[in-house]
Amino acid sequence: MSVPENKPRWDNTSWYVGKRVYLWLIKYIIKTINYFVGSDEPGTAACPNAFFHCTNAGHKPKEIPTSWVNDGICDCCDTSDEYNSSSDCVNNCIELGRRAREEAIRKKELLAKGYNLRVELGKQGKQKKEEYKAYLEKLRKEYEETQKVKEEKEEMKKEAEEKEKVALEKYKVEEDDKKHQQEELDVLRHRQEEKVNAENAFNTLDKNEDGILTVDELQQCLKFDQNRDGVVSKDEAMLFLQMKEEMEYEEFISTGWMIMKPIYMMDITSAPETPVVHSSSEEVARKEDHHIQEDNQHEEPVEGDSSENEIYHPPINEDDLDKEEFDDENPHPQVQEDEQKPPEKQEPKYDEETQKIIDAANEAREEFSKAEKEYKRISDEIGNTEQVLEVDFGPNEEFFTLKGQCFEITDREYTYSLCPFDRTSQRPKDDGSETNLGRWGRWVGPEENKYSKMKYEGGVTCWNGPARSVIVNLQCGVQNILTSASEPSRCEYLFEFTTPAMCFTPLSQMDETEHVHTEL
Amino acid sequence: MKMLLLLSVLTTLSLVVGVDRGNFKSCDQSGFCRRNRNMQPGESPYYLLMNNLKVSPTKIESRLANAKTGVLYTLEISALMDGMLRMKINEATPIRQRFEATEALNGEPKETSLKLVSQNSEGMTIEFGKNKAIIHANPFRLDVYSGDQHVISANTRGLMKFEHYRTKEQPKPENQEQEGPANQVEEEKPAAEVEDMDGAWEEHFKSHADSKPFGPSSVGMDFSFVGFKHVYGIPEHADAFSLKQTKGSTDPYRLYNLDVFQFEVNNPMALYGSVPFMVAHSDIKTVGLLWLNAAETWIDIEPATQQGSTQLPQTDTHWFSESGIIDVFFLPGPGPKDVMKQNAILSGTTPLPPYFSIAYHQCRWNYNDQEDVRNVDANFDEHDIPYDVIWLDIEHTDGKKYFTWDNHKFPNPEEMINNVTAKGRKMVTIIDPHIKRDSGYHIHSEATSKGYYVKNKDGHDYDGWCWPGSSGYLDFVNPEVRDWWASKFGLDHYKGSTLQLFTWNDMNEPSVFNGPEVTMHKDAKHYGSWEHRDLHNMYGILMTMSTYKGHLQRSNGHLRSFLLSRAFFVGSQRYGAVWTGDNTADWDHLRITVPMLLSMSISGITFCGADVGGFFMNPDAELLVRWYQAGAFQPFFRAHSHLETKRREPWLFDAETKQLIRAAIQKRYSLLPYWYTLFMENEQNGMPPMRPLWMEFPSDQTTFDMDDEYMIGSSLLVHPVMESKATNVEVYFPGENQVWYDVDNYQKFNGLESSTIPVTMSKIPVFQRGGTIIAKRERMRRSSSLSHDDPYTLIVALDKTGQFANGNLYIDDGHTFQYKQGEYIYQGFSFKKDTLTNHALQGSEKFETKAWLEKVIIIGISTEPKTVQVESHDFGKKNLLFTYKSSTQLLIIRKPAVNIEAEWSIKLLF
Repeated sequence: MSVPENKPRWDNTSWYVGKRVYLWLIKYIIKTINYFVGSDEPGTAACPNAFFHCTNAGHKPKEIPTSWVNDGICDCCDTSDEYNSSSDCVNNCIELGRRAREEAIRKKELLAKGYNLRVELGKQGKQKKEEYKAYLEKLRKEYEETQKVKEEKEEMKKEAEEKEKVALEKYKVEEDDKKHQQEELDVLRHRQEEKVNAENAFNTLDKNEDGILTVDELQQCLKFDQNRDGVVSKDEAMLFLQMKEEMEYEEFISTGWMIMKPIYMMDITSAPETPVVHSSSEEVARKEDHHIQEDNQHEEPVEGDSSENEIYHPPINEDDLDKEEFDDENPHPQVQEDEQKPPEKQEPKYDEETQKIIDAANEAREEFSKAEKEYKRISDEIGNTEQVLEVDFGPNEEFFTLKGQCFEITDREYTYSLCPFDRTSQRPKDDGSETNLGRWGRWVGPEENKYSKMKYEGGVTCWNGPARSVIVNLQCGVQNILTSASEPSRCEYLFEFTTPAMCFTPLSQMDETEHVHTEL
Repeated sequence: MKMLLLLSVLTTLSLVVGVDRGNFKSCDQSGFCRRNRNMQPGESPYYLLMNNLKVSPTKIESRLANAKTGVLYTLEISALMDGMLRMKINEATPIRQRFEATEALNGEPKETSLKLVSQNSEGMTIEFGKNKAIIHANPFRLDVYSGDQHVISANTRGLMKFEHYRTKEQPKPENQEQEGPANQVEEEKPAAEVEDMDGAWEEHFKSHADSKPFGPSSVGMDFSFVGFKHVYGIPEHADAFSLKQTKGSTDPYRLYNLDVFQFEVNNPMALYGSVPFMVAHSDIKTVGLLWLNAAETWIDIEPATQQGSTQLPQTDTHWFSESGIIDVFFLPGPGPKDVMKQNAILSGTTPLPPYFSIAYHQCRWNYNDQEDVRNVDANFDEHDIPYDVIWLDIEHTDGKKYFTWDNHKFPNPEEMINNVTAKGRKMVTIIDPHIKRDSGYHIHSEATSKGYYVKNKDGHDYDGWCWPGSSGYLDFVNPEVRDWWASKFGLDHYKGSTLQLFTWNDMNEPSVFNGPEVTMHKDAKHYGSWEHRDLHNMYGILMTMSTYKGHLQRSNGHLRSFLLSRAFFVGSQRYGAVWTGDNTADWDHLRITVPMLLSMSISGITFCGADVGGFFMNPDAELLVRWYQAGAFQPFFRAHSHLETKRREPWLFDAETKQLIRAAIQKRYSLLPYWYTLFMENEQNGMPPMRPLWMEFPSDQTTFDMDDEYMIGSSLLVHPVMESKATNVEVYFPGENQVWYDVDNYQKFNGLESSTIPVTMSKIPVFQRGGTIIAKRERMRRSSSLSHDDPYTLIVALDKTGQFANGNLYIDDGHTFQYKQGEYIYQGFSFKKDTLTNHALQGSEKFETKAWLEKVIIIGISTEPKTVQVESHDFGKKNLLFTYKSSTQLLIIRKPAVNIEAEWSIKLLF
């Protein structure tokens, strides 16, 4: 549906003919305009989006919806909107105008200062960008070198390991025998344990100690109340007796226990009354409502973290789950190394010759590992640097210097942190564990003012909700300050940030944006 | 196989979809439900002792006896105003008093004369008003007649049950199963019969025990509606408007006020409110039945059958409650409007709501702080969307301590409220009945020291979990507690409140997170040593009764109250509005709003609504728009959303969605004069503003099963679009010789016909009935109170003959009780003989308005007049500008400019 474009305008010029005449004129003009618009009814569906123009001599003119005219509320400082109402509006345009002009002057000065700072930031930004480019060049050269080294070391490692393999062959048979024996022992021990468990269970359940488990006896044990209706039904009990009324000791030990064990060992006896289940309480949402969570996950899953994981501390108290995810998706090169090492436990004593071969192989492995690490470091560094260079830091790179800085604001409960082009987070004031609110995403301002909004996304996923995300509103200011942080919608945060990088208007253009009626 | 079994048992434990049914009892899990439902129709053991008969001018009294147990009961049958009959059965000599839900009634109903016309050993016939009843002695049975037509029978199927109080017999070692009759010995020693004692003395549900110290106490009876295939009412259920048969297919309809997390649609499970009131309707008759009992109640409905040689259809119902007495009111009709009026006499009506409260409400769990409130308020202005009330949910309090404010988020509540009310708007805060057990909290410490809490079975203060954690529950059964609570709304008590701050009573079923079925234990004890089981369904109404009193008191009875309650019972309408609770943002939940609100409306709960947009989950733009469009045409119009949902204020959507929502809200505002008039009439005569089609067209059988369209008053038919991606809706136009006009394009439709109406996203299918006149206000304001002096537009839809139309308009100051002193305007408009005139309906000179008549639109006029002339006392005769559109037979008359209350006429000259 399209919205009608024709906004009836009153008169843009201002005039002052004494209050009575002035009011009369206004009324006359309204009638005339009404006639033109073809409607008798200002503010009706006949003319939606119609506006009333307050001249506000002495202050800024204003357009208000026609539905605000004569509604008893003074919306125009010149009182012209209440020309036919019983409200006692007072014309305070002169006072308001004076204050507005003072404010405008003050603001103008700040904006001018901000503009100059922005020019300076642009210079710094460009320089920084050049530095990054140079650094990237350097890295690329290093990359080639380290790749070569890595390949050489790998070749050397292979050779040393071949030798080692041959030398160790004879020891291997011996070792395997030992292992086998140990395994058999373990199985025996486990069987013994199971039997004891089964006996214990049998003795506990066999209330009358007659050596036979009966349905009655099982019904006394609430663990078997599978549908949790408070009673163990006959069926529920029989389930554990091979659908028979009773079971003797032998049968129980041999087969009965196998069926019962998972339930018996699980501690499900009727728990004491705890506050559970409630509509809409977070508690319940967590317990009962996983399906909602699934439905709501429109956002992308939490992204794995790569290079910055060392400096970024995943939260520990609130979302342990997420922490696990975090760790899972983060490859640990060390683990791989450990696997490659020969078993250190019970290392048999080798003869001198063999030991030498082994030592040589170990050394070759270490060398290769070092080379590989270096290679990986350089690759990552290249990736990171390329990423930085891909970021849009503004038409003149004026936002570049914000990269690498962090800004904080603390409210009653949390300290919020904004590290531009990197990440956002929240940390409770009392305990220090941090929650990731989202990583740098993109500029999301409207087309004509693209740099007015940033989006950080893919933060820690909420129970029942999307991954946390932050919108940062940027405004021109002489300093970089995070001025506010709030959570208007669950897990959708809003930051306000001022920075000179946003001061796009030079002094020479400012007059056109400010429109103040000074004449009376 | 066994392992498979085991596995399936394990997996069912972890599957949860929608409502967790396991948290709520089925009939099988309730002893008294089983004991009553398992009864087989047959000869009733209850008989009337004719020699005990006592006849007085308004009632007859006698005794009933149970032939099997020998227990004696009192029977009272009395005639009430407007042809109603009341039947009350109680134990003759109970060892413990039985609870009566009299506070639900609008005062003790006035009795009128009753005549015993014949009597013999088999029974008697009585006459009252135009109606009569035949009482059969053995077995006891009552046949009620509306006029000469037999309409309701009680106990014809012999399902009456009245479990007398008894002391528990100590189990005898030899004869353990035998539970004989208790300690009451009657003149005739009864044959010892084994009573059904299943679950009578103790019951368990999940981990909860119900100690049932007084044993079995249920009461039940069957009622047959003779000549009726359709029965309605007994809210609250998320089910079809025309009640379904339950016997043999589902559990009975259950009435037990419960906080149901994510309720499902189309089933008879209990929800937040209970009104045990049923309406039976046929093309020739409408009757009602009120089963006044505040304990847990179930109602079984048998499939309609054809009875006797006349082959009359009949609907058999079976009602039973866990305790209390049998107290039944028969409402003889004969028409639907008569039944509404009769119910209004019994349980009262909704007092005329303040004008703002029928406008649009903006709510969310939660508006976070003052800044948030300011921004939302400002955005409504910025986007030019009218709204009247902004609501604060539980997070506004200091630690869920009601009557307090979170000092950090709301440091200056009064200033915040004043900023909102400066534009004619209001605010609402939530006040729940659970009180945080925090010794520093004044409400708690007072309640504790004065003993104002409900007690547990052991006599200690009942402790339950709710929002604040460990909580006490105020015992509103105690009148002293109610007065004390009312005083807490005084501006001197409730810091930061003003007279423009109103109240939301939530969680008043009561909700107890760790209680059985998320509510209070049935063996908890109330004032007067009643058990919670006796009065559970009344807890909510007793709370709102008290809050309402608080609202009146704080302005010394000058200003009207507004409060919203989730729990409700018979009579809750006397204290304010009710909503359908925590629904979900899906199309099923949008569709179910119509039958749910109709069921509530015809049961007296007329100021009712559903959360627009759905409380749980996130609606997409299409669903939200359709929900606003539907909600704009339902009595209580409030958007609300869960804490964990995305923000959904209209401006957060794309421009088109915002515009569509604005348009829907604006339609509501333009019709506020009509809604207000309907609410005034509702207070007078009980007619619900939202009504089923058959209430206006009783003989049109096509309308009896309708769940998707309804009337607002007698003039507007609404068929909201409630399907996703709809391109048209099938609308049925009721009534012989009726014509209907689409309110958007004035297209004409004939009664008794269906039409396919094409719909776009902006279309709300609403039709004005030919022969009616509606007063609208077409100027939009930021809030309804700012429109007070704005002019009116009259929409005159002519009837089929093109000759006639009429309608009413009620105006007053919108917020005080001065209307009770005659300060109002109530006038009728009528169009006949080519002339539109106005006339006072209930004359009153005491109220003046500046509002004038801006425009008149006459629909269905076949020829263009030559001249249109207005005549009034003030300025004599004057010709008016007008335009005529022959294609739609539409005449638009501009600016009569007469004051709406002055006497005037507008003549069409051809």
